[in-house]
Amino acid sequence: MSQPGEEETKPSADQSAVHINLKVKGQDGNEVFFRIKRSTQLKKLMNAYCERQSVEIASIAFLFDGRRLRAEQTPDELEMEDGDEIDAMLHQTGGAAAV
Amino acid sequence: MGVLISNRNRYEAHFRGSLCLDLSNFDHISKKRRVSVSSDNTSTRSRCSVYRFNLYPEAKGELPRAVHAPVKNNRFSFSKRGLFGSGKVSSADKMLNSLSNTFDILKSKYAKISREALGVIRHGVFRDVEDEVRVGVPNWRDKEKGKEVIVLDDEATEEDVTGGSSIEEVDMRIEKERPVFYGHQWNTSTGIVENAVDGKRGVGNCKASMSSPVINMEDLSLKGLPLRLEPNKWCKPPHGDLLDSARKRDPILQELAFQIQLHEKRLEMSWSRKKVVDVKQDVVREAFIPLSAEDRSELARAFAKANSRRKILVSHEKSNIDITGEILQCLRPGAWLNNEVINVYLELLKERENREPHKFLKCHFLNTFFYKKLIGGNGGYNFQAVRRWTTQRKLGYCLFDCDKIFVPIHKEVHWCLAVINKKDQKFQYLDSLGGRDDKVMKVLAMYYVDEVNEKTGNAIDVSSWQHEFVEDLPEQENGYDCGVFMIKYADFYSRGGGLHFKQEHMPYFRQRTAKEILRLKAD
Repeated sequence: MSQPGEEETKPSADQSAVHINLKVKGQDGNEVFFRIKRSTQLKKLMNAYCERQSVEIASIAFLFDGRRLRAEQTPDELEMEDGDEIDAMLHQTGGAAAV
Repeated sequence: MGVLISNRNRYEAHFRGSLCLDLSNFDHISKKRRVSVSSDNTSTRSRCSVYRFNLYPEAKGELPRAVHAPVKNNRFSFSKRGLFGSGKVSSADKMLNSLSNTFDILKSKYAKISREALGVIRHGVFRDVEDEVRVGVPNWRDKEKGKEVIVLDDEATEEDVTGGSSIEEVDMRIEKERPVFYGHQWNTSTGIVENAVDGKRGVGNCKASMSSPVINMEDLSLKGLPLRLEPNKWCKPPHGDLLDSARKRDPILQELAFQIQLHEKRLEMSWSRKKVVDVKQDVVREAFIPLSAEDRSELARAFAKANSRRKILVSHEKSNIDITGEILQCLRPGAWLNNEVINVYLELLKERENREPHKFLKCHFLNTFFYKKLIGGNGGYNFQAVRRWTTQRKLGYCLFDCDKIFVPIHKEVHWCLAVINKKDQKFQYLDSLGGRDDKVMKVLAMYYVDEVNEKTGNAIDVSSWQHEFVEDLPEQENGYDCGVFMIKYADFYSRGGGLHFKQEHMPYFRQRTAKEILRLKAD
């Protein structure tokens, strides 16, 4: 896993109404902070996270309060608040105990 | 009337000749009683009859006299109690003669009213007659009639249940009962004053115990009592015979009542039993509805290799999960189930319950990531990570209200199911390979306490809840079906039934689940 970094985290008072700070938390507990426009699709955030983590986007399920996020959704649409957390979970599969 | 009078005369003769030892004394006494009554209440009686006429203007004598037999000794012992002083025989007889016509009219009037009332309230009148008897002669009723009253009341209620033919029976009995009432009243009453007093008392009793239409009848009949009583004083009531004949019927009626109860109970039991069986059969049938040819061809297309793997076959809006051809492939025989298929299917189970809430338990299905998040973080328990997952605003209901909360447990390469079973107050763990994980139970117990406290503010104690590793459950006999077993545990448990399936059903369940996901509707 690459170093957890903070991207676009330069909050300023005049931009707080337009931008939002979000935290993406990996399954292993590491956190990546993002600052994006409220009206920007989360696709941007997802791609940035996967690039940084060097994982394929299809292998990750992003959840907000337990519900899956679509790439087309925006923070405004989801009524996200500053500092909210997004969970990045690896897809699961299973059939039997490991042989 | 002629019959009545002749009866009275005959009785008087009989009485004087044989029944009483102290004949003159008794005669004297009885006459005295009559005299005192008439002298005291002449004005009252005339007023009374006028009042009665006003009440029932169409007076017609049409009721034939009942034939009366001699009275028993105890009648006189009863009446003797009120005897004292000297009497004026002649005035009493005069009063009798002058009033006889009035009595006739009033009696027919009463009969008419009774019959009219019978048409409206059959059983009510039946009870009414009984209570009139009690009004007139409370002592006698207690001694002799008490038992019969209970039985007759029972008859009325029992036969009320059975319907048509038995109702006719009740009517017949009422007709028979009427002469009993007259004869009895005439014979045992000791005078207008006493009767009026008894009558008042009776009204009080009856009002307490009877419904309003019956009370009306009661009032009418009571007003009629004093006038009707005197001219028939020496008549023997036929109630003895009737009582005997009625009592002969008692065992039969009791037998009938018992039979009715028995049959009702049987019917009830068979209904409830049938219902339980029906529900069970419904559960089994609905869980194993065969796929149609149309379903199969649709599945074949969806599973086809030629199908673009990236193509989204179906999208579940609420959960934002897209099922592509590649994802659905996991439902092909021998494949391992992925979280997408499981999560969509659990969503469909919840929608099924919302669609038919009476048919399924109130459940909540947490997704496959929940447990992972809950045990993430320090100490292997992180309630904060999932605190916002189950707010009432998000769910539309309170998690605490659910009978069962299903928690899929993903263990590296294996699927299990945990259940927070509020209905039976236990935590359950179902592993199709028979595994056990005590940590899951402990974590879920902590979670449930925290969750309830967070959402409702109540502190609940689950220390008494059983931790059950379900052992008597269908188990997988291969290395790939655990996911199907897991979702089917949830399916069958949310139906409220047992786990009536086996390994051999897994190919069918895979197809069925794929079909249900493609249709976005679980049955």
